[in-house]
Amino acid sequence: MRSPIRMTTPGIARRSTMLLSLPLLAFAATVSAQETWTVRAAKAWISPDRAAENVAIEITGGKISTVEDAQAVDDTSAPRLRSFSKGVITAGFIDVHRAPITQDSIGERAESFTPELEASHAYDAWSTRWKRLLRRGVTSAVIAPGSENVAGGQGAFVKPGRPARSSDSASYLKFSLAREAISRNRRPTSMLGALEILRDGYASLEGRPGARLTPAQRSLATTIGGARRVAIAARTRREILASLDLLRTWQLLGCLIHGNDAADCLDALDADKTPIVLTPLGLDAARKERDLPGLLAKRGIPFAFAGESMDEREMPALQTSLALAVRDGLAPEAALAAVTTTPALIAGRSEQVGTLLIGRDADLVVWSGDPWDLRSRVLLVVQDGRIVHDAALTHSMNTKNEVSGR
Amino acid sequence: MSFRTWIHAGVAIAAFGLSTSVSAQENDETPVLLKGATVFDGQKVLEGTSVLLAGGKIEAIGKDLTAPAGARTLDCSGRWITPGLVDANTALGLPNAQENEQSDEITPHLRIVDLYDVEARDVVRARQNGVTTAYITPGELNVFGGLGAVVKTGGPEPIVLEESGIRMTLGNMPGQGNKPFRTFGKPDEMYFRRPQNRMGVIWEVRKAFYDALDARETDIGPTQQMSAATKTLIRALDKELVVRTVARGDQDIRTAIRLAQEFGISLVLDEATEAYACLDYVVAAGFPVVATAPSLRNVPDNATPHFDTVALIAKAGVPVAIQTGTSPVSLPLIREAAFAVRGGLDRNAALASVTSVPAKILGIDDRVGSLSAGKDGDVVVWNRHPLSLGSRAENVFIAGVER
Repeated sequence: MRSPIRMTTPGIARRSTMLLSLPLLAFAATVSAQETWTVRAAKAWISPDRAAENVAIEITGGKISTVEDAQAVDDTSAPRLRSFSKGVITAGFIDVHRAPITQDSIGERAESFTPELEASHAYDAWSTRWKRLLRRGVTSAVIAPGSENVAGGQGAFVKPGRPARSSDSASYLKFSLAREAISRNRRPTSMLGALEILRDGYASLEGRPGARLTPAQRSLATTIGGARRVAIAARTRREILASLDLLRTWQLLGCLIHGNDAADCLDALDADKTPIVLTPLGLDAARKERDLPGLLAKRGIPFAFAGESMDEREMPALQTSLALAVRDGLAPEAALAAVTTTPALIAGRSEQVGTLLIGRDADLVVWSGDPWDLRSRVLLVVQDGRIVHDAALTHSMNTKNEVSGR
Repeated sequence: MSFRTWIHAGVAIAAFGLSTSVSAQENDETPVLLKGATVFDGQKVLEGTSVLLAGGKIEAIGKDLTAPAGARTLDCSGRWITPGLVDANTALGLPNAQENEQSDEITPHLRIVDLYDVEARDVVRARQNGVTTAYITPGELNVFGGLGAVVKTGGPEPIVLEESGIRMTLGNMPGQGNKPFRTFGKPDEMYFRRPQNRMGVIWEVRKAFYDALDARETDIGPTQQMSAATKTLIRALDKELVVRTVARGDQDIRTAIRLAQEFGISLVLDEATEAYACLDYVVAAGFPVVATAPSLRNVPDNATPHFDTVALIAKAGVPVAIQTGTSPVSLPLIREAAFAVRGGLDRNAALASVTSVPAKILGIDDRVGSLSAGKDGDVVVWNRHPLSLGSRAENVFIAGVER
């Protein structure tokens, strides 16, 4: 079967999608979470280290139920099939450190030590603006407290546009030793003080197993022994070294956010391979920023890109990062890992998202080419088995309420 | 494993990790023979002497040393060798010269060692100028600023002592950032607080020590935990930790000595700019002095520096070390020692004031500050007498390896 949505020129495309959109619309509307359907493409990245040609992925009940050679799929026996003869399928991107829609950054600035706060409370699943993120291939995200508090609060792993309860969305605990956590107007005014606050917090748990803990202490206690990851915002060499020291001292499972000067302390990072969440590479990125992914990859230090832009006038930040990193010599596999498997690891959801293995959430993106090629467009985005963005439809209809959030 | 056990294990791992991470530059264990130099061993000058470095330590020092097999031999005829210099008070490798947590005045428990970066530019510069060991200190903006540390400027183990002395600042400096009501301060602001001046600073010192004495004497029970600040001050009262006081004016020096005698603490007089004006007190008290950098003409607290201060203190028999301190305009340590010579200090005493004397004051004279078998292999080869104007540190060895 030939794909019904192949386009030749924009003019014809617009007219033809008008004509074709009726059956497509019917298809999109009828794919419910429980049904079985198949998406087929010329190539699929099952995981960053495994690509396959001509793949059909069967989705049942919001999960991936089968991944097989497309030749084996009998067209007549596949009642619900979306086929992309030149498409490339990847796992849905995971934006592992981002702000909610309504604010640039959430942080309770009146105090610097607020580990009990939960970012899930600032997450509005019903906003139609999440579709801007979905349209760029991001199907999961961790809503994170900002870096302005030494202990900002608990991140929330969410599927943008889908409701999440605080109990099952819990993700890493966010700390910060970055400059913005230091303020002249409240404690701490220095990095000495910031370190003291965190050390004090953990020391206060000592010898109090099961004792009556404050909400802040309860939150810190969940990170002990690596049960929950902590993410520490650190930019300069000194901040990074202090963060690593903190992780070792209290035996925490950690990751670094920003890590701008990571190239200056590769040896320290190499020791326990702490993952780093990098700021996306812009077209104006300095040489030092563009070199960093390659240096980290060479040492085997895991890294992720996070912070997709919701501004539609801007380039898609994650795709641009992949393109620039690959252009500067990073292996495409490593680039893909930086937006799929590594963020899944950091979010603590490796068994759920990040790859297209059987049993994983059916979060996938069909691209018109490889995602690290800036010419590639997003053709289809599937989240939990539902089509949440379909490029063939967006020309012909007002998509204001397209995201089927519930 | 109990919580406490693995916390301690964690600290050990952290210390190990820090030491391995910061300087994996060199692991060259080749013995080095420095042959036929004029050697200052920390006390006296020895002509035509050789120094053998092996295994990170000084293996031997003497006239007729032969190089073991595979050793690197450096002909040092016409050269001078001194122990690696020891700077008794600096802000090397710290983000700011005045590093303080200003949300509180009494922060004796904050550890400056957490911020030390052995690869910082000023550390590298100090090492190139022959400094191999330094005391790093918190700033002067708090009455009790925090715990200083003794560090090396390179090598596989840059941290010598994690907690070495408590910074206690007298004079006007701690009052600088605090805002009284009439000069734009607001009562709801963090900086609307004591102290504003000398009187307030002394009050804060005495209150903190009396609180610590109270806590030590009273059994406050398991439910009420002692603050970390109080615990640290109790260590000072027990003479476990030395108090490093900043006292520039003669009034502040006398105050520091009086406070030390009142609470029975052991003191090091840092930045004793006007020690010449109260020399009798200093001699009688017997506390060692770390003199303000002799080249400085402008120092805080309206203190007046004299060229001959260090010479006078040394002549009076008080152990005196020379520091570069936290001033941005002080010269390399060896040049500051030369300024002290200009002020009348004996040459060997000047060299001792940047090697063996500070090592003794910091309590690390068993490891650094002098040249004898078994000491750390921290050695500097100078192209001529180190105190002459044209001297240059040609080879700097830390732990037996040229850095």
